[in-house]
Order: sequence, then C-alpha cells, then structure tokens
Amino acid sequence: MTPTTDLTHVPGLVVPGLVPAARYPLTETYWAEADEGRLVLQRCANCGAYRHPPAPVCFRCQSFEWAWEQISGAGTVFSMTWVHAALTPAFAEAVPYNVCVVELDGTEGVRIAATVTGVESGADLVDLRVQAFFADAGEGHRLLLFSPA
Amino acid sequence: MSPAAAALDEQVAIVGIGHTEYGKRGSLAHRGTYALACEAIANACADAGISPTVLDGYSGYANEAVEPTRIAAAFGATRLRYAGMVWGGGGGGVLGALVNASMALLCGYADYVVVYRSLTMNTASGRFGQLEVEKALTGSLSEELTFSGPYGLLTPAQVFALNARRHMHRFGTKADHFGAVAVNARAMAANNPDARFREPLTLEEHRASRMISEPMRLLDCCMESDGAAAVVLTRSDRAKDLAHTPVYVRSAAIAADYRQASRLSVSDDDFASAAQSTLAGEVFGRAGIAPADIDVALLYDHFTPMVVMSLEDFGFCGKGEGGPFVEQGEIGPTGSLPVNPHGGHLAEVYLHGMNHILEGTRQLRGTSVNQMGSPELVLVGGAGGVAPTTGCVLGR
Repeated sequence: MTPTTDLTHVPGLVVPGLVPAARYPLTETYWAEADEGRLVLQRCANCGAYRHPPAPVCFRCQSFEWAWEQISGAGTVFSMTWVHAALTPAFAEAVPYNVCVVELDGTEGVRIAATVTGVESGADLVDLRVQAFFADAGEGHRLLLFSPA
Repeated sequence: MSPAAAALDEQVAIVGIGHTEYGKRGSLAHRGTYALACEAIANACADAGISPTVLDGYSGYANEAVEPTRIAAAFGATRLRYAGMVWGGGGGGVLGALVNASMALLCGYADYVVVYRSLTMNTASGRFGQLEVEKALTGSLSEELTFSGPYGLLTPAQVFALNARRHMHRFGTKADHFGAVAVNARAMAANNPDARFREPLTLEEHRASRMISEPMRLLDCCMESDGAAAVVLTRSDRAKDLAHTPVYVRSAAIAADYRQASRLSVSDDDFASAAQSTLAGEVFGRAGIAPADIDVALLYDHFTPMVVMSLEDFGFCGKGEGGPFVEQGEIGPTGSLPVNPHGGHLAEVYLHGMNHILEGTRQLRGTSVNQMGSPELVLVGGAGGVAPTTGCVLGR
C-alpha cells in the first residue's frame, strides 16, 4: 500500500473532531485495527458473507457468529461526489473534496465510503481501480483512504 | 389483493386541511413550533367544519417535536385516545402517518385524527440539512455514520448525490434533466400565492447555480423553510356530513428497499433509485390500480434527482428513462403526469411532504389555484432515498 502525499483535501484530516469518530461496541474493532493500518470487515463465521457497517447478525444466514477479517483493500469506485459547499467554516480548507463509494474486491459486493486521494479535482472517478491505505489522523489514529491503483 | 386493501379502500377520508404562513428558515422562529402547529390544526379543523376540541387522535412522523398532549391541552380537547409516530425515515415517513391514522380510525381507537408537522429551522438541530454535521463535530454520530462522517459525507444533498451520480453513470441521465425538474417546479408555482419561489427559472440559471455536491447544484435542493400544516382524517361515514366533499385514502403504505446492512451495498438497481420500488407495489397494489391510473402525482422533491428516480420507481416510465421523461415535459401541466402543481418543496415550501398532501387534497376537491383538470386519483410520495419511505393514493 503506497500512501500518496496529497492529503490536503481530506476532511477527516483537516477538520478537528471528525476523527476519531464516536465508538460503539460493534465498531470498536474496526477503528482499533484502522489505527494499526489494517482494513478489516466483519465476516459471518457460518456462511462467509462479508458485511459493513458492522451488524450483530448476518443478513444472509442470520448467524450471530462472526470474525474480523483483513481484506486486500483493492476495489473499484462505484459512485462518487465532489463536495464544493463547505459544511461549516471549518470545512473551507477541505473543499472541493471527493467522497467515493468503493466496491471492495473479494467481498461479494461490500461498498465503503472514503476519499480517493491523488486525483485531479473534479475528475470522474467512477470505475477507477483504487487501493486502500491509511493516513495519520493525529493522536495515534489513522484513517482509511484510497489512491488510484 | 390483501385483506388490508379491502379494509382501507375509501373507508377513511381527509376532511380538513390547513396551514400557516410559509417563510424562509428562521423567519417564523419568533412564533415557535407550538403556536404554528396549533394554528395549522385550527385552520384544518375550520376547513372541515369541526371544533378542534373533538380531535382525539394525533399521528406524527420524523420525531415531530410538538407533542399531542400539548396540543390537546391548548385546545381544551375533550379527550386524547390515540398518539402514534412513524418510526424512522424522516420525511420519508410522512404518508406513514396516514397509515397510522387510518388504522386508528378503522379500529375505533379515535374518531378524528390529525396529521401535522411544525418546523422552524433556525437552529442547527432543527436544520435537516445540517443535522449530522453538528453530530460529527460533537462526536455523537450514529454507528453507521461514523464510517462516512470523517470524509465529510454528512448532509442529505451529499448522500443523495451518490445515488444521482450512479444513475447518470448507468443511464446517461444529465444534469439538465435534474434542472428540468427545478424549472417545472417554478413554472407550477408561478400563480400560487403561498409559494416562496414564484419567479420563473431557466435551465441556464440552473446550470449557473452554485455547486453543492456534484451533481447537486443549489437549485437542485429544496430550501429549508418555516411553517406548519395539518390534515384531519375521519371515517367515511362521518366524512359525508362535513364541509367538503371527502377525499378518500384509497391506499397508504410504508415500505423499504434496503435489505442489507448498508444503504451503500444494495443492488445496483436499488442504488440508482429513490428506494421506492417496493413502496410502489404496496401502494398501487393496495389500491388495486396501475401507475397509468394516476392523474396527478405529488412527488417528494427534496432534491431534483430523487424526482427523476421516483418517477421510475413508481413505474410512470421505465428504469433509466426518468431523465428523458422529464425533459419531454411529461411532468408539466400538459404532460401525461403533472407533478407537483403547487410547486412542491422546490418552489412552494419544504414542509416534509405535508404540503404535498394538502395539494393532493385540493386537486381532488377541484380547488387548487393550479387545477389540473378533474383528477380522480392522485399519488402522494414520501421522501425517497430513505427507509422507510411511504406513499398514498388519494381519490374522490
């Protein structure tokens, strides 16, 4: 995973308070693993279905048994937006920024939202192949990002 | 046809509609949501020809903050026998309040039920467009949103932009198609004295409006508003003795398309949609009608792309054909399906769908300032892109 240096437009890295996010019993492991630079998803121990965000039960087989599994982080952009309007003055330095919906390889269709860095502002990123990496978000935390594969 | 279909068809009616003045965000804050709610309800009761003291049921949605007990107390109501709330979905739940009202009436839990919404969007927590931003900055996002919040994906305009963008990618839908929805709303509102935005709009002005979150421009978004509106319902046997010709609830339904853990991981067809295909089957099936039977549609236009996708979900055109359908003027006053003759949220007022129920009722009474002939069946849709979403068919 090769980090890019262009991280100036990631809200979570420039707006205080966005990272770390609120933690919940089911989401703690995701964020703890992220702090170590690992992208993990819940995977059903019974039928093998991946799911995200975390849920207490498998949507496919209804099993309550699961394990956290590290995934490759390769994926394809499914949809996206370039955000131009700063939500508050704190976001002024971040705009324009993109948020992409990335469909993750090998997960039977799990999609996750994140910013793709190192791309031209305003570019159409749908169908772009991307690779996950983690950026330093301060105070020991890291944030999942993607860059073009 | 399910047993519920026979139970609802024409047994419950809208007998009164009322609203306050409408204004921009914060303009009515000095009056407060409590006073606005009471005024809208009093107006709806006056329209029906009943005293607010006989209201004995209250049906809300989107965590309506003005509680029934306060309204009953304010009017000195004789009794309060029913108070229900649609669970989740925000403005998607608006017609679910008709489902709950209908069930209460048909089961004998109440005789006169009022559905209402009162809004002053002057504070961050009252602004639906800013709700999650405040939570993000105070570390109180919900579980699901903790995963998108750090990327600055926090507002409805941003989230629905993702659905719109996928629709454009798959079907070639253009920004001008979304613009056509905004242009139609303004054209419809031109002669509506209640409308906040009556000036005509051109596609050029739409194209030039400020970009919010691609493809969503400012003029693709409804404007946060202040105001209140109310609808009074009763059983059909009582409705016949009241002031207006009853407008019957032919069907009402609550439904959701999302069947997995995440709204981002739904099927491609559901992603490029307003998440109302399941709802369409429920609401038309319960009424025993087809989309072609609808004369006028009141579609929830919080954002223009959701109207394009709602048209597809409800079956007024094929999947992926919503853009051309709008471009060809089919939703205009002379089109095959006039949409939002009052101007909708985009031009009249953003009142979480209540103003759409009011306009649907006026169209069936024949009293709209923008009357679309003599419609017999009107569809009202709740907010798309959320779960649950709701809808109803009204008839006369």
